[in-house]
Amino acid sequence: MDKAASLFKEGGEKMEGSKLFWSSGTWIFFLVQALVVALAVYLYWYLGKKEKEACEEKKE
Amino acid sequence: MKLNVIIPFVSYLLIMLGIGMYAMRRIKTYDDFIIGGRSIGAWVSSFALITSYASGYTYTAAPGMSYTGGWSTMWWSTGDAPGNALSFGLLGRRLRKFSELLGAITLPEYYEKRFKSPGLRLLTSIIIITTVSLHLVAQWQASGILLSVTFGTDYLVGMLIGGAVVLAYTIMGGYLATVYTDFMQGVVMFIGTHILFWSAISKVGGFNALNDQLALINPGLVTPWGPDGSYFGLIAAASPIILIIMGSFGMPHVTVRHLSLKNPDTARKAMLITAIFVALFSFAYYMVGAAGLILLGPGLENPETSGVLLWFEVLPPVGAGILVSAAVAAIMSTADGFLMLIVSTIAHDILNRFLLPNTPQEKRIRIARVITAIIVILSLVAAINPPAGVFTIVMTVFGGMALAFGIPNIFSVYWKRSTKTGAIACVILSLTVYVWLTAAGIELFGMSPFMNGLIVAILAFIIGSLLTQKPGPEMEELFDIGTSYGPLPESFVKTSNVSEELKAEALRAEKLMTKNNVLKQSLNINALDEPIPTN
Repeated sequence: MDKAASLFKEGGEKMEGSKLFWSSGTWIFFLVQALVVALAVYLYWYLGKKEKEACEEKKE
Repeated sequence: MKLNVIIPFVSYLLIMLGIGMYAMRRIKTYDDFIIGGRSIGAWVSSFALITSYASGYTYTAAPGMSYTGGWSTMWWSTGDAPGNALSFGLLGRRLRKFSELLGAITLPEYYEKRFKSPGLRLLTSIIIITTVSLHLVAQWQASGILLSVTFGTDYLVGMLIGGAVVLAYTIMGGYLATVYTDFMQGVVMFIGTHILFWSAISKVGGFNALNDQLALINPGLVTPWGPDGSYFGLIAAASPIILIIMGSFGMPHVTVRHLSLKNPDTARKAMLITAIFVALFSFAYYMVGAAGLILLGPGLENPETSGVLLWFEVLPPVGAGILVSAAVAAIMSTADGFLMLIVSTIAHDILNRFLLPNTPQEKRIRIARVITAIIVILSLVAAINPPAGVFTIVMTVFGGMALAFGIPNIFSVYWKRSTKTGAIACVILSLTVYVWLTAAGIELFGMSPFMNGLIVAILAFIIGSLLTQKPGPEMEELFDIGTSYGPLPESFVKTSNVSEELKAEALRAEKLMTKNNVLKQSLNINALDEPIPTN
């Protein structure tokens, strides 16, 4: 069954693959990978901040 | 042509043996052999985790999936980066701290001390030994197939080459050798995969050309839902992501990397390195199969060979040699992780804990080395005529272990109220339900057996814990320290971070002193110890 492909047609004609890649949202896979790296950067900073604060508290 | 392929491959094998010899010089204690003396830095830990997770699957099943499923295969890749990275950031940091507080160097030992249950240690040890042994057999089988296809050698020769090299460096350098070789193997895999991927994309004519040609075969190949719409809907799309993430949090040969971190804060750095490298790596090894569909044409008898066939289609012989090394690296890095896990479980969690306690340190290392050799020989013999459907069994077991170990791992460091009853119920019920549903092919509530197993695992852990008495104040104090930020309190480290072998040494010394005192009293020579009067 060509269920998914049938959802992506332009004026009754099948789209070119390069256009279908963008219109079907396949590019979101790459966005998700970028967001994961951004989340890792944030967590790296956040956990580092917490560690630093805890070390300073213990010194005092 | 063959020589151009063989030289890079043989060079790679020699480097692995050299690393084994280097690691051997650093083995001073039993802890060094089993867990690398908790001295592994962020880069090595990160690559060791990535490569342990990426097995022979990386160069066979993963390209095979995109050969038939196109871009929809990226649902699987999407789970890799968050799973591997958050395994360090959210689980690894705390697991490292808890294991140090409890003085645990293996996962079954951690479960025993965290949940105060020797039975749970025995249960998890048995599950690890039986299931991971099957995984090991599958890795030798993959090595045999890969090398026989590439070099035209006999299957048995290909299998023995993989087994002999892993045995040599693991027996020499133990855990240290496996993580150092994993690091090198990770570098080879990363470079090799990108050479193949970009060469293939270039030969197809770029990404737009790839998509255009995929759409001509079937437009569904360019969509996230797959050619047959099998990933259509939230549950269908989310299932692979959740399975991959849970694998990173549960598979014991992966999570054991957390116990060997140099310190808890190393997990933070390893998380960042892992996120970047996996995001850049996993899409390439999955999507190379889609390029293979265009370059090799549809109708391959076995789509899982698309990755290997592509090497010789798009690369010069030297490049193919590097790719062979990368594929063997993927197999070896997973095999050595499995091997060390079985060895540490048998040596530390069964022999030293239940059968041969108080064994001196040097003898323990010798025993561990002998076990390493026995396990490799037995698993190689099993791989000569592997049990039917071993790969299917292995893939089934993967989901089961992700559930049975993943949920107890997470709850043990995030929920103070966790108890041994919850953990044991979770391990037994989730494994039973998952294996039963998979074998019977039942999808309850429209969900895969894994998703059903996940719900059972969570409920079993929570209900089992709430129905039983909460942990004592000692464990609550330990939980508070384990979940806090900053270094461990010195007083706590001094009293708690004493490994079993040091305790055993202390016990022997105490017994010797007692014997000595008894001897002195019986001979009535105590007076000799007293100071001589001066006047």
